[in-house]
Amino acid sequence: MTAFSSLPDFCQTAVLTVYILIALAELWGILNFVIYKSKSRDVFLGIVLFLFTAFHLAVLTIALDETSSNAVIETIADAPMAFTAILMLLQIAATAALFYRMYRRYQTSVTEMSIKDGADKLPTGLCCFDSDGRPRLTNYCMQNLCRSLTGEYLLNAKEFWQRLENGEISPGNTAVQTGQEPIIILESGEVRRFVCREIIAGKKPIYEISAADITEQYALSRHLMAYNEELEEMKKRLLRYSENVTDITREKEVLAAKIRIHNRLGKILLISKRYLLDEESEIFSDELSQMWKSNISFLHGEAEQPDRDDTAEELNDAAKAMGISLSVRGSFPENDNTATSLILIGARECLTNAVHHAKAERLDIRIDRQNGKTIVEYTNDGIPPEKDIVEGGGLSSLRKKAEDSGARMTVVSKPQFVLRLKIPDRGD
Amino acid sequence: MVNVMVVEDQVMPRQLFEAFINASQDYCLVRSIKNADMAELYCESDEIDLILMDICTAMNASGLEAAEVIKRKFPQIKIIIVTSLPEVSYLKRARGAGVDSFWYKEISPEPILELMDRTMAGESVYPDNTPVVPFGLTDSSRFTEREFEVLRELTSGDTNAAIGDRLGMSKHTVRDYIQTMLEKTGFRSRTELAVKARESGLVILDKTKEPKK
Repeated sequence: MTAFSSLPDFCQTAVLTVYILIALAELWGILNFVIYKSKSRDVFLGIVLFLFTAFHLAVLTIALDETSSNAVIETIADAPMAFTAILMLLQIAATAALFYRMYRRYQTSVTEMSIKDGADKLPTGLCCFDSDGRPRLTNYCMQNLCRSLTGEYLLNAKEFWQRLENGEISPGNTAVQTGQEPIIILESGEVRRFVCREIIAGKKPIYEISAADITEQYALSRHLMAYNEELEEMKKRLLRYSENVTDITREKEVLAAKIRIHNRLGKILLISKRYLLDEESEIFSDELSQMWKSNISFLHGEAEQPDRDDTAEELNDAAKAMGISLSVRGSFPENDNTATSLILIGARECLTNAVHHAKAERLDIRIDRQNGKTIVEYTNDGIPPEKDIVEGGGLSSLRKKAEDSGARMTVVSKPQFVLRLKIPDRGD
Repeated sequence: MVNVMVVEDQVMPRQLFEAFINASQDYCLVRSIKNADMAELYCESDEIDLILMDICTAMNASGLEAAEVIKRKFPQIKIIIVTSLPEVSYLKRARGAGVDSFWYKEISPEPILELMDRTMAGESVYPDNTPVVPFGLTDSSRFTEREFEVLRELTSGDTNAAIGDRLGMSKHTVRDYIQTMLEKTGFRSRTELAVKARESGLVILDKTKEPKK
């Protein structure tokens, strides 16, 4: 049977080339095992395999030298070619198994390189740096972002972050939010939110800048904002409409009263006619006259008493009825029922307090306008409170009403009682 | 003689009440004011026996709130609530505030003077139900109390979540209630539902806070 030594030259070269390739592959496999910190067993097996291949390669190479006379080498070189081929196939199979183990190792182990590979594949920009700003890990996305935003490569992450915080970015990009969480719309239309945080790892602090793609969320939030503004406007319109409806209801009441008077007038006219035509009528002229007077007084009253705003007058009457002299400096807010109502309720509480507790004879109300606010101050000339006032039913109810309408209320007990209301103008 | 105070902000209805009282020999009109917030003060200064109290008075002062305070401070004073608004919660709130009687301006069958007599005699006269108001394809009698609560909050223009927070239910439940009401009334949108509800006077948000329990 043909042996290796008796093969033609080109066949011998081909066999040796295959062995060289196997040896190189095994060597590469061993190196990878070391890089990926594989188990010692794998490294050992790799080395054994490589040594065996190298030995076989060396034997076959030496066998080509016709001057060599080593018995072992000659035995191997003269072995049947089938044996050499089987040996070679076994070595190829073992090398393939080595590569498979190496692939498995690559798939399941975490190394610096695998971290970098993984980070580069992230859609989020990522840069880890030390306290000097030196980048330790910058992924592909963050490098691109840095170049888009500053025109430079990311060499100093600290400087890059400061530029983001201050919104110092290349023209064409827009910083919609600066400061601790910058949000930037890139020239491409992409929206990124940058966050910098400290990572506790080992003794030295490591910082991480991440840049999340929030394009979709940003568009949705803008849409939501616009929708909310629209809703807010609708809400205001609905509330304004509600106020008008109250007026309409009042007008309906007035109309109903007018109809009643009209009907009554018709009735009186009929009775009057009967009285005038029938001399023997049982209707007393005094009664008829009273009916006319009553109805005319309604019509007269309606003409003479338009529905005017006599808030100050009503308040004054109430104070007079309680035996208190009232002094109001300043004027009630115009077209602002909420503010006027608060002032009236405040006056009511202070009048009650002036009569029951302070035994006062005079209540002063001062109404001023300051920076879009109505400032109301109530004081009296009575006995100052002996101790701090505890807000009871009336005052606490006033406070709730005030706070519900956005106003602020302050109660001062010493040296004299002062109630202060700061009522903002209505925003609608 | 019974001393009466009228709290009514509109000239015509106020004059009608004044005329009825003046025409009666048993009642004496001692005070007639527009703003319910001021009523409490006159209860201190005047010897009032009976108050005819409107609900929506000048400066949006609530007659119901005023009545609640007056009944607490002056329980001997009788109060009759007079209103033309069919807001469904008013009857319940009036009862909760201790109001003696309740009179609908437009539909109550008996004259006001008769109601005043009965109230002064110690009776508590309340209508059996709120007036039934047409509402879309149906009427107000077809709605549940909870539906009215959602409807009332709906007129604020707030979101389902905000309404749900106030009423102690989820936003999905609020949505379901609104959907049911839309089906009953045939209205096309929640805005139309809110506007029509407010227009009819069935629900009035700013004046209908539940009495404290």
